[in-house]
Amino acid sequence: MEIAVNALLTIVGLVILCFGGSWLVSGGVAIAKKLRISQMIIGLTIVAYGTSTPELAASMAAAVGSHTDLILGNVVGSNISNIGMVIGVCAVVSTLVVKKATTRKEVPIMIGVTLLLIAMSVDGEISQYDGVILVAGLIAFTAYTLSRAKKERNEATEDSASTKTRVPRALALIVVGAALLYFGGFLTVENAVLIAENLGISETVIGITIIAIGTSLPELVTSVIAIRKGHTDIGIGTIVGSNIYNILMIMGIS
Amino acid sequence: MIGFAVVLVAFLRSGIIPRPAGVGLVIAYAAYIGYTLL
Repeated sequence: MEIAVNALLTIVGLVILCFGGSWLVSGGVAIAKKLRISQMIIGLTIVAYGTSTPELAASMAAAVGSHTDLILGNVVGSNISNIGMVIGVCAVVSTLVVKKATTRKEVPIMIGVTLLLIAMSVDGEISQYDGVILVAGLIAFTAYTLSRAKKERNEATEDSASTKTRVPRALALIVVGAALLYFGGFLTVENAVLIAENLGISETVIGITIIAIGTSLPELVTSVIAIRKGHTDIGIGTIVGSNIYNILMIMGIS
Repeated sequence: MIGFAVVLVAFLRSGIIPRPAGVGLVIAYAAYIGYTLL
């Protein structure tokens, strides 16, 4: 009976995730049109921040509980699942056609911060000094995306500015969508863990599979919804942005 | 992590990620999870 309730709550969590992802994408697209910036920038910023909240929450909880190994495992595991699982599933859903120009700068940044994390891990620890460098990188990357958005806005034609978008509604969609992604992800993971425990599955297996995949569910749902709606740039931007934020923000802050 | 990132770069530089590549990525991820569990 208990497993049936947990299974039902897992399904409810997945439904909430779908609504959250859909609303976050809709709000992001509306804001992109209103501000006359590309969907890639929205994917790299607002949507990537929104979908990274479960990883941030899980890592902050691990940091408070002094489980620092879990933070690195969570970040590395999430980044791998973002590429292997999320991009893989998105490409299975629909062939992804990506504009080369949109990923010319961001993808090398993603590779760069990944190499930086590996270099910092060589001595066996991520020190507070390393954390300061990562947070400085986060500030620099945020400043870069904002300056790119400003440049795109200046280059945009007047026609694109005439779209009728209600900003408060779009912002509400983004905030509520991100909150639903967080709550839906939490509900899904918590109940999936309880089902696995009831079935006698070990903590290690649960940690590697359910937690790693579960914290990437917001990225998966959001990217699949974005790509199915034809907004491929938001889908790709979300993955690249999330991988950068996972390292710079989550490792840096934790 | 670097391996997966490099594969992603290769696909993005080509401008297209076809369905078979998606299937390959999912299989590679499943293999990684399986390897980690072992």
